Amino acid sequence: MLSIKGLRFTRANFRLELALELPRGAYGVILGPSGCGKSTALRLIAGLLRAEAGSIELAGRRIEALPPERRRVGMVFQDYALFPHLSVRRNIEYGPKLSGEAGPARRRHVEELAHAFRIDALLERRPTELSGGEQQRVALARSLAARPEVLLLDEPLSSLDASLRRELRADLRARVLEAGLSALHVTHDLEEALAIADRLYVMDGGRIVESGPPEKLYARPLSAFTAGFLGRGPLLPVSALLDEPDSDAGMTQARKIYRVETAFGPLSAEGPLPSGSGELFLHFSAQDVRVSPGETRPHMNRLRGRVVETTFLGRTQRLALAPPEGGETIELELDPLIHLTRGELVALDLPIDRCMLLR
Amino acid sequence: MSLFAKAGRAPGRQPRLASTAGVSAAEDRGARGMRPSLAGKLALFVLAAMAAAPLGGALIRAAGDEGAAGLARALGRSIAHPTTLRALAFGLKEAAASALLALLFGIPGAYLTARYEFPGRRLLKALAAVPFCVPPILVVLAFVLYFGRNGYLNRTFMTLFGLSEPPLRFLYSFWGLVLVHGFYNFPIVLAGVGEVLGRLPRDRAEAARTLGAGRFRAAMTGLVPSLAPAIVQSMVLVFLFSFFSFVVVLVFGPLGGSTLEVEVYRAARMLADERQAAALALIETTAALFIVLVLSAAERRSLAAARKGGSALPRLPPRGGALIALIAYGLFLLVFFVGPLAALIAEAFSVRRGMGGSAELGLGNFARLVGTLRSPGPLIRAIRDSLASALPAALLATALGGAVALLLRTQRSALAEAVLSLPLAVSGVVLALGWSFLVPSAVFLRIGRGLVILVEALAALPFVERSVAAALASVDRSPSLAARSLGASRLRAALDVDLASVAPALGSAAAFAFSMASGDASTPLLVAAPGFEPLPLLIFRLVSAYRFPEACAAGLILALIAGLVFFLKDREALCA
Repeated sequence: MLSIKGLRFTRANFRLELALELPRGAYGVILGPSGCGKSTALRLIAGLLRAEAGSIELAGRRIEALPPERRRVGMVFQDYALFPHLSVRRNIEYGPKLSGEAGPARRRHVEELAHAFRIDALLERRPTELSGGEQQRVALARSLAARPEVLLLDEPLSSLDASLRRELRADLRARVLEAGLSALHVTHDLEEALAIADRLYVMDGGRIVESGPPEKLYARPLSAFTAGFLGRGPLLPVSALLDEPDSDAGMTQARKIYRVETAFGPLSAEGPLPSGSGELFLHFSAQDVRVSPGETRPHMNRLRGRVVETTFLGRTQRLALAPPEGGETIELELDPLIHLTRGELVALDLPIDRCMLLR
Repeated sequence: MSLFAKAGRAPGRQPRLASTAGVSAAEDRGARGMRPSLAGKLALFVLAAMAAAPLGGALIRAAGDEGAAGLARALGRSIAHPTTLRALAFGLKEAAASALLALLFGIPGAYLTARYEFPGRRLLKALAAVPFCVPPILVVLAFVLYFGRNGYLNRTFMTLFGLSEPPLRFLYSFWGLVLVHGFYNFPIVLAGVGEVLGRLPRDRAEAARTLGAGRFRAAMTGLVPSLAPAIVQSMVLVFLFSFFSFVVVLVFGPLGGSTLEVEVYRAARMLADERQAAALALIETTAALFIVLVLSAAERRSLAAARKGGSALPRLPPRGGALIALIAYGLFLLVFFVGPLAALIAEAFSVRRGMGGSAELGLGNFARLVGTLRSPGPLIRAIRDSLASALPAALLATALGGAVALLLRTQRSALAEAVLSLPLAVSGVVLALGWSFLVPSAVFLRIGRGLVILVEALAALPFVERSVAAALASVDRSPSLAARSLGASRLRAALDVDLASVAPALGSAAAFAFSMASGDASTPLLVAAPGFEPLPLLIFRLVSAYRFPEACAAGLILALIAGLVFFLKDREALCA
């Protein structure tokens, strides 16, 4: 188990404050935009940067004051950082050699790892002679050979092409978990994060803003940033709260319905009303939208807008929709078979219980 | 970073890898399936011929009238002569010690400039230009004034500690020579290693730490292997410069301690034994050729390592131990590097009243050398002679070097690289002497000054060519190709697009060639054209006559002429 509390690090225009819990044997992914502090977080955990305050506990040991070589934290770097002057074998046995593992045991250890990672045939080669995927496997084997308690992976798939990235990510997860390790993987790629994580940590401006299983975060994001970053659907700025929360027919007391004013007219959303002072948005998932030419139905929002543009994307079409009186457009992804023309006024139905208020 | 390229590039700028010319050339060749053009082959041949011509002159002179047998005899006699072996051993020893010392002084500076951001960082990196644009004769003068028995440092120590004898007496010894070379050349290491260190990805060292390595072990695994070629490269360059050092050895070489470069000069001009001089020149060039080959190999490996690096890494503000190290290094530079140059300036403006009289500030030293309007003094003539030879030499070197770089842009094979490295193995003394052997003495009297210009241009040519080639390699080819697609001929596209892109590099190269030519003392000493006394010769004459204040005044003028052009061209390096 990796437990980080109040870890603080400051640079000229950047402040990082980190707290997270990663259960043993879990594959965690820190997801966030470039520059949000993901890699800095990993470097702090590995001890490559020194935190100003806070604690890091790994498998019951406090490690924040230890130098990197004594933390038992493995790290796979973005460009793998293989030692170009050493063969693959000597790269992998670097860690075991430093920990004093005896010759025959070390050789056996290296060969087992090489076999597991299907790099047996590459052991005598130099890293410069390997493909990107091979280098990734060597970097992973090298990190595991040092027997870390947790493995940190800094965008380990970003230097590979898209198809190889998809192919290797499942492999990567399986191998790390097979080794019985916890992993903390950093990426800005949403698809990669959702596909690989047991536990997702969404990071923004140097803080983890939300964490949890990816399905849960996707189903019910708690912040406008997470909803936007997970690409669920549009965020409609709320200009006014129209009436006091009230329980609606068919809804339980706990689920209060709020009526709000937006550029697309008055709409309803299910509570709770988020606390805080940031801008309030009405958010819904693009998947829940239905194009509705008929009558208004109960428990449904009717959203009217003018088609600004449609873009065919294969499995979907992207619709840019402006409020009828003009204003900022929103984007939605719809069934590509629905025929829409530019300038046309359309009505969309949104289930009220799928609309939420976020800040 | 290529140190060859460094020689001709703007200090403090982004590095241009000289041999990336070769890399991109190879890519171009692969992409376009081009074979070396006739013009490219011709350019290579001309360059090789220019480097080889003085050696041909030396071969002919060493052979005398007896052909190959005479050559073998002359070479055998020279090799067997104890002076030759002593000079070769002394040269190798002092050059190796100088390179190690330059490394010792340069590495801390390289680390500090690569890792930390502080005021004057770029100025410190710009010091790399000093070995190339401060003439050796000035260095000699500055060190005598500062470290000499009666120099500023000794006088300060004697006053401070009440000593009756000067404590520093190393100047005219082996270690004195090594210290002068070390101080003079360490900026090459500082800039060369610093540039690579600043771009070296740190993730390998960090990876080593996460695998269990301590700080030192991680640096040895993650940084040193990638840095080693740059270290070797700059050390070999310092070795070469120290091995070829002429004026410094002539003045500071202890009794019995002489190098082949000085022995060639002695044989030719003092003993008038031209066959011996020619044979020594051949031996020296052969030894230098080995060094240049090592340099080229190290350069290729260094470039391979440097390519793996990314853009410059962010530098930190120095704190704690780093700040203390920076202050200590700054003080070291102030005392040992800036001090001698400051002594030179101070001496130029101190006018003494009679022998042992008190000194006061004034322009008397300059006035004595300037003379009057009716009878201009030696300084005016020297400035005129310096400009008259250095300007055309710089233009010739730039035109030839630029043309060769352009013609070989897409054809830099390993052989081409070897040929292009060849002129580096021919020292200034050998170049001047070899050409003087080729020109009949009757003609020589008439074209002596022209020969000085040619030799100085040839000496600067390899640096200029590599600098321009490096700039060309970093130029985006697509605008030139766009010009071709719009109907421009190859020549037209080169003139309209490529030339504009490399114009700043050409300017820097010309300024550098000018600095090199104006500070050159060995060619005018060897060629000795009648009535021709450029500034370095005037200074040499004044130093020999112990007229130090006047020599300093002339030196300051030379430094201004040689250095100003160079620094004006790259003044942005000084403004950061």
